[in-house]
Amino acid sequence: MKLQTKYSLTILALIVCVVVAFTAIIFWQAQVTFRELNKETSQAIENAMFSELEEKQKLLVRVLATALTNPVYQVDMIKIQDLIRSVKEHYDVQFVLVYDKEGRVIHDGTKELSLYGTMLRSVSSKKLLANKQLVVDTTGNRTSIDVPIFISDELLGGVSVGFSRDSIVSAIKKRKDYFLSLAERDSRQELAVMLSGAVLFSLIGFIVSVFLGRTWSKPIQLLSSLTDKVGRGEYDFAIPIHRTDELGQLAEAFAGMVKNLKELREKEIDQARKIQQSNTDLQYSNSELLKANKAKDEFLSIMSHELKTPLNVIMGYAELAQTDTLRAIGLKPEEAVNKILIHSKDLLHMVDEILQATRIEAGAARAIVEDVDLFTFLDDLKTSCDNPTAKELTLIWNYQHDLPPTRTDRDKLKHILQNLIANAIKFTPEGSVTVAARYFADKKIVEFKVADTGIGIPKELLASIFEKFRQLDASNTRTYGGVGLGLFIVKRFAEMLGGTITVESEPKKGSTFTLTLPVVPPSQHYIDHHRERMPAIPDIEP
Amino acid sequence: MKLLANTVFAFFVSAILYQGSAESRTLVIGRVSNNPAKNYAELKPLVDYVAAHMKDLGVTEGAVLLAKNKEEMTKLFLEGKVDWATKGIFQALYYVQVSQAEIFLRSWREGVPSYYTVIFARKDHGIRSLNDLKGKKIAFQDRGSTSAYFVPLAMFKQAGFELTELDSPRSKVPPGQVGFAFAREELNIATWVHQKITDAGAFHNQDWENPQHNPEGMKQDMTIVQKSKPLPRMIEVVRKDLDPDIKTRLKEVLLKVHEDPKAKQALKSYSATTRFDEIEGDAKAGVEEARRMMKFIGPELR
Repeated sequence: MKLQTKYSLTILALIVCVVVAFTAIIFWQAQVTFRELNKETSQAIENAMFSELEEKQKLLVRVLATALTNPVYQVDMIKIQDLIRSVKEHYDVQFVLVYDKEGRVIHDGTKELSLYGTMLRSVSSKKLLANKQLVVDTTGNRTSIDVPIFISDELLGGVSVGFSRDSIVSAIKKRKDYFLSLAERDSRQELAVMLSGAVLFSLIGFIVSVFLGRTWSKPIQLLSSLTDKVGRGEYDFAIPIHRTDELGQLAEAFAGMVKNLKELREKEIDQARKIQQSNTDLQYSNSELLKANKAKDEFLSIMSHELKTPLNVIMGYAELAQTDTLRAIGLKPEEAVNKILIHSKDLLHMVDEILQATRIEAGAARAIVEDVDLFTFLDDLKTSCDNPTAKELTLIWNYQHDLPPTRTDRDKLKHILQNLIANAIKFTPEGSVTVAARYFADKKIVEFKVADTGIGIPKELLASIFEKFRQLDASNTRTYGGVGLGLFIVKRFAEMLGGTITVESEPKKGSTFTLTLPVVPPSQHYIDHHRERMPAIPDIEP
Repeated sequence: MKLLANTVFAFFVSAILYQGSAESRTLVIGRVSNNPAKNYAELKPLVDYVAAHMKDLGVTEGAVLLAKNKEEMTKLFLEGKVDWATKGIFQALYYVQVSQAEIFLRSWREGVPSYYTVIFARKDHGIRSLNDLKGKKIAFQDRGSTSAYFVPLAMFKQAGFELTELDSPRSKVPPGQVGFAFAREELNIATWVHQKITDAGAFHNQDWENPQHNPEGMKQDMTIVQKSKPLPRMIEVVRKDLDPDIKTRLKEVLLKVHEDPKAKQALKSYSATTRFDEIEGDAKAGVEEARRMMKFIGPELR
């Protein structure tokens, strides 16, 4: 059963009990009062009615006696009979006897005058004739009233009227019953009014109980629903309970609890997020470690291969020379030395790359800027570059005199371009390798492009081409040598020079590496010594 | 009250109708009345009944005409405004004398065709004959009563007594005369006698036997002193110049009316009449006796 229903039923029960109790008490008191009043009132009414009726009877007989004076004197029996009949017809009279001064009946009201001449022996008539005054005699259930009939002072006789006491009592009882019925009716009406009132108050009580039940249970229902919300993890809500009673305190405590839960939840979420982040980081780190480990394994594999290959060659030729086997195989000593030198250079280059990468990783590599005339620089580079050998490959240089001087690290730039050119030649079996440089005065950048028509790079490897130990072919049986640090060093050097390097490539069509470097105005010293060339670069100001 | 108003209205309407045309053929019955409402109700049913049997004679309705006194009634007879009336024998003879009316039929009352007057006194009073009443008082009913006034008056006068009317029954009687007082009702007559207010009383033989007029308690103490000869109970008279056809039809209807159950109520209201018969035999003798008595009571009738 709902709390609201319990509240409502409890309040309703209380109200109904109170109303019924009050109604019962009031009705009981009213009944007691009614009974007392009825008892007293009925007695008073009875007495008053007796007195009233007796007075009326006396008056009636007096009037009758007065009216009978002339008829009796004139012995007008018809008039006497009419008078008696009128009295008998209109009043509750048992008998009417008109008698003469000796007590003989003159008229008894009947047409046959059956009592005519009868001598009355009643006490009242005797008293009347003796005292000549009104006499009331109550015997048994009958009251007789005798009134003398005079003409002047002469006594003609008397009239005796008998009233049934039974009928009087009956009349009084009728009136009493009437009054009692009125009282009872009033009582019933009062009961009906009280019952109506009780029903009305109960109805009002029902409405009030429903209202109070709802009002009282509403905060609890609200708290219950809010508790459900909290259970579902919802904390952002207002508690619209503004009271100072226990429910208000409960709501306040609930609000505090929700606030604490919210903070705990937030902390929990934050911690979870952190843990998740940590997990992610760990997973990333783990993957990186795995990747690094894999790279290391590859590196070690490559290194072991790449380092062992030239060393084996060097050692082979050196052993051949030591054992003087060269002649036996028809190889000249200088050719063997040349081979040793070539592979020693490769080995040195690899070691150099490793050192460079190590310095970069250790943060020890620094750009050492100097004034560089890019045109001259490229000319020198062109000169230093070996032409491709034993290949159907053409190295094309494309740059103009408009290239400006700039301040940059000459060696690193050279390393970059040499590396890119060497790679291009290495991965281009045939076709061409184009080295181009172009100055964009509006952007104040110079763009170097090394484009080949070689094997190209698969799209999925483009993103990682600049990472360490990345090579197109990581297998031990790969076609192209190298430890996979060249492009890593290139990228890092480009970044050290404040530039960027990008690659565009399509497998079997070739690759284009673009190095973009900012053009930094040369030093004043450079300007002063190369003023003759300065007009060629008007945008550059010292 | 309403009935009284209706009666008065009927009286005037009847009078107007009658005055308007004698040929209107309205059958009119008349009576001297001091109680018009009562008398109208008594007469109207029978006159209507009779008139209903005269339509072929041109009589379209019946009417009641009530006169204040016998003089007025006489005049109405003489003027032809009243066709028919019911009277005591002496009044009937009076109208025959003064109004050109004629004795028509005898009517029976309560089954009695004739009656006679009794003069009575207390047994203990020692009165045995009329002669014992000289110097005494006698109670009569009223001035219009046949049996309780005219007949005993005639009896006393016939016997040579001189009568004088007393102001009160308690008044003294002039010496040698018989004093009389009117008691208005039969019971009063008996009571006066029994109470010794008067020495004797007179009413007809039916009253003597009627306990409501002569209660047993009184009757047992009283005795009849003198009886009259029988007289017709009541007489119907008609205007002498009434249309013969109507007169004939009236007689025919009245002689048979007691045979018609439809007329029972009309007859009953007509002073408890039970039938009508011709003036023959004892009726005729009674009429003749009345004529003889008329010699003694003529002045009183006037």
